[in-house]
Amino acid sequence: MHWRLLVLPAVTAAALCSPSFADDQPGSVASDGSQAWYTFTGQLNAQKYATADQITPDNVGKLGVAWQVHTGDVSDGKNPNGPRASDWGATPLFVNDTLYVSTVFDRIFALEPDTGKVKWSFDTKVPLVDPTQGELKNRGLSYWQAASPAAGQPCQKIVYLGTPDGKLFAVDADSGKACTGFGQNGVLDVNQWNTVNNKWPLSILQPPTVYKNQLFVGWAGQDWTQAVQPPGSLFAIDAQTGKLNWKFDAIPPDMDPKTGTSNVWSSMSVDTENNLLFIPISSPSPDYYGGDRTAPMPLSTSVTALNADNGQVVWSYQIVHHDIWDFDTDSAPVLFDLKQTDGSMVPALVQSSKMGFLFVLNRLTGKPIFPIDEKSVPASDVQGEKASPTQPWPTTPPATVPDQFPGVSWLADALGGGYCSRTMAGLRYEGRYTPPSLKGTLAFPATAGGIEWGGGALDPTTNTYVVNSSDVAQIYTLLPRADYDKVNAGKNIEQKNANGYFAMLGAPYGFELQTFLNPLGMPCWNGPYGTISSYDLNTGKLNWSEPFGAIQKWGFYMPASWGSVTIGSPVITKSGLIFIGASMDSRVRALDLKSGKVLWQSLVEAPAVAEPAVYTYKGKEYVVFAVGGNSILEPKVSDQLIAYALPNS
Amino acid sequence: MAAPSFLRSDTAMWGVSLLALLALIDSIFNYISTGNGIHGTEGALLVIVSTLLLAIAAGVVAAGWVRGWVRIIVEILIVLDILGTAAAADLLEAWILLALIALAAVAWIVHLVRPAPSPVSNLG
Repeated sequence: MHWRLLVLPAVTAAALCSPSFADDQPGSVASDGSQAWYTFTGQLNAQKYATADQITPDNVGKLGVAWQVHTGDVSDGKNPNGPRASDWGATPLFVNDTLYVSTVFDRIFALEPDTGKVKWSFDTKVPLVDPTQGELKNRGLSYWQAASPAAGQPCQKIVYLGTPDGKLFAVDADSGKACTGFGQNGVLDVNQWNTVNNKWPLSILQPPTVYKNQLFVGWAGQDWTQAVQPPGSLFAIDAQTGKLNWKFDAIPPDMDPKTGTSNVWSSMSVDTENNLLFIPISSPSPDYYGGDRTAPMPLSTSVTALNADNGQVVWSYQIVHHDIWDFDTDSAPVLFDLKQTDGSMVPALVQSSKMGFLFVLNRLTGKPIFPIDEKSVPASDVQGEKASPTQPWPTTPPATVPDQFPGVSWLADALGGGYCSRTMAGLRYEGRYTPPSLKGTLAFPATAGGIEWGGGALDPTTNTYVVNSSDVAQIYTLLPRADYDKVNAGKNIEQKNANGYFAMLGAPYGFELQTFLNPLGMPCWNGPYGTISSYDLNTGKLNWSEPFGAIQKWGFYMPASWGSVTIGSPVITKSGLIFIGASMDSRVRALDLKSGKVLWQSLVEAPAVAEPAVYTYKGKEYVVFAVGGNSILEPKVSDQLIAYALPNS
Repeated sequence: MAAPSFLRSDTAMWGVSLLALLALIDSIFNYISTGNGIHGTEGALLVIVSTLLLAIAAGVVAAGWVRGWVRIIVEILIVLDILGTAAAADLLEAWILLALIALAAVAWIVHLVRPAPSPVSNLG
C-alpha cells in the first residue's frame, strides 16, 4: 500500500482545519519579540529551530567568541577524596531576557545574555554524589511563567533544577530566591513517590518538560544493576505548588515483581494544539536479559502520546519488542506537519533511535506515515530467553546506521596483531537484533547508538531534518551468575561498571559490555564512526549524509572520512546553518544546511555534548555552547560556557 | 665556477639543527599551552622528543663529530626523524611545526646536494 493511503482521512481533515502548528507557552517569546530558547530542545515541539538569521552561511566564517565564563563546577574524578568525574550536558535557556544554566554541582546561574555577567546564582547544596549514575550529570533547567505574571509578586516566573537524589528545586527567575510555595520551602522530594521496588533514588538529571501549569518529571535509574527496579513512573506536578496532579506508569502493575524502569530519562515534546505529551520510554530492567519478563509490556521502548491533562494513553508505538539490547527510546520526538504531494498536511512526528531508525508517525494516531515492516529477526540461544521473533523495521527514511556490520578494519586488525578478526570469528552475528549470547554477540548498532538523547533538528519551512549518528560495534556477553561472580569478586559497583560488567542481580546472568576495540584502542570495524545526515521528511528521502567530526587519539586527529562518535545534537537556523558540537575532537562547528559542508569551526575545552542555545538579544545573534564533556566520548571535562557572535560592524 | 661558501661548509645541516630547535620550542609551547587541542597529549610530547633528537643529530653532523658509517646512520635517522615529525605534525594539526619541519627538509636536501668539500687544500 502506498504510504499516503495509510493516513487516516479524518486526521488529514483535522490537520487541514487546524491553524498552523505553533508554540504558545508563556515565555516562548522574548521581550523584544524574538524567539526564546526556553526548553532543553529549544521549543516544546523539539525542533531545535532558531528563527535568528543574522549569522548566515556567507558570514559565519567571521564568527568569534563574544564572551565565555567558567562556572567552577567541574571534576575530573581523579581526586579519590573528591567528587566523581563530571558529565555536563546542559543546554542553556534563553528566556525572561536572561541566560540560565545549571551545573553538575547542582547550582543555577542567571547570566546577562550579551556579556555572561552573573545576575544571580543559586546553590542547592545537595551532596556531590550521584547515587544512580556514578558520574555527576546534569542536563539543564526548566522554566515556567504565569500566563499573566502579577506585578511585584515573587515566583511568577520560576526556574527548576532536578538533582541526582530526587529533589526538584524551584527558584524565582528574577531574584534567584527559593519559591517557598513549591514543595517544602521550594524543594519537592520527588522520591516520596518512589514506593514500588525502591532500590535507589529517582535521579532527575534531565530537566522536566513544562507545559501550561504543569511539570512533567521523568527520572534516571540503574536498569543494569538489578532485575527488579522501580517502575517507570512519570509525574505531572503543579508548577507553582509541586502537588502531584497525575502519575503515569509504563509497566503493567502485575509485572512490578519481575522488572522495572521503562522510565522516561530523556526530554519530551508537546503538541500544544492537541494537548498531547509525547514521551520516549526506555527499556525495562534488566537491560540485557528478558527471560523473567516475557509477558507483554507494550509501552516499554516506545514512543507514547499522553493526554497532557490526565496522563491517559492516547496511543503508543513500540519501536523495539522485548528489548534485550538496551535500545531505550532516548530522545524527544520532533513534531512537524508533513506536506504531501497534493498539498495537504499531516500532523507528524519523527522519533530517532539508538538503532539509527527514524520512525515517522502520525502524531495524532501513532500510525506509521512511511512503511514500517515487521521483519523476522534471530532467535535467542540462551536458556530462558525468548527474543521477539520480529522487530519493527522502517524502510523510509533510510536508517542512519547500515543494516550490516561494515566489516573488520584491516588497519586495526593488523596493528592489533589480528585481534579483531580473531575476536570476530568467535562472536555471534546475524544482523540487527542478534540477541545477547553466552559466546558473545556482535551488536551493530548497539546501545551506544545510533542516535542518542539529543535527537535531531528540523527546519519547519522545508521539513528538512538533520541528525547526527554514531556507528558503534559492541560485544554483548551474558555470563552465568557463578561465572560473573567469579570474575567480579571483590569489586565494587563502580569498578564493575568501569570494566563493562553489569550485575543484573536477580537474573540468572550477569553481563559484560565491551566496545569492539583492538588492544591499542582502535575501532575494529570500518568507519565512518559518525555521520550527520539530512532528510526531506515530506518524502522520506535522504538529502545528504557526511562523516561528521573527528576522532582524536593521543592528540592525533584521525582522517576526516572516519568521522566521530557523537553525543549531542544539532540546531538549525532560519538562515540555513547547522550548529553542533558533539564530536570527540572538542570542536564546535557550523555546517551548511544544504550541503553538510563545514563552514566554520572553533576549538573548545572538551566535547560540547548538549545542543547549543541560539538567540537574539539587543539585536545581536548569539550561539552558546555548554562545554562539559562526556566519558562515552573522551575522559575530558570542562566547565566552559562559551558564546559566539559576529564582530561589531 | 666555485660553489658559494655556505654550500662548501655544512651550513645547511646547521640550518636543519636550527630549524629543529625552533620546532622544539614550538612543540614545547604546544604541549604546555592550553586551548590548542593538543596540550598535554602524548602526541605533543612525542614531537618534543623527535625535534630534540633532530636538533642534536643535525648539530652533531654539522659539527663533524661523527665520521664514516656512524655518520651515514645518523643521516638516515635524521631523514626518518624529519618524515616522522612531519607526519605527526600533520596529524596533530600543528601547522607551525609542520612548516618548520618542511623547511628543515629543504635544508636537508640542500645539505644533500651541496658539492663535496675539496680533498686538496688551497695552496694559493
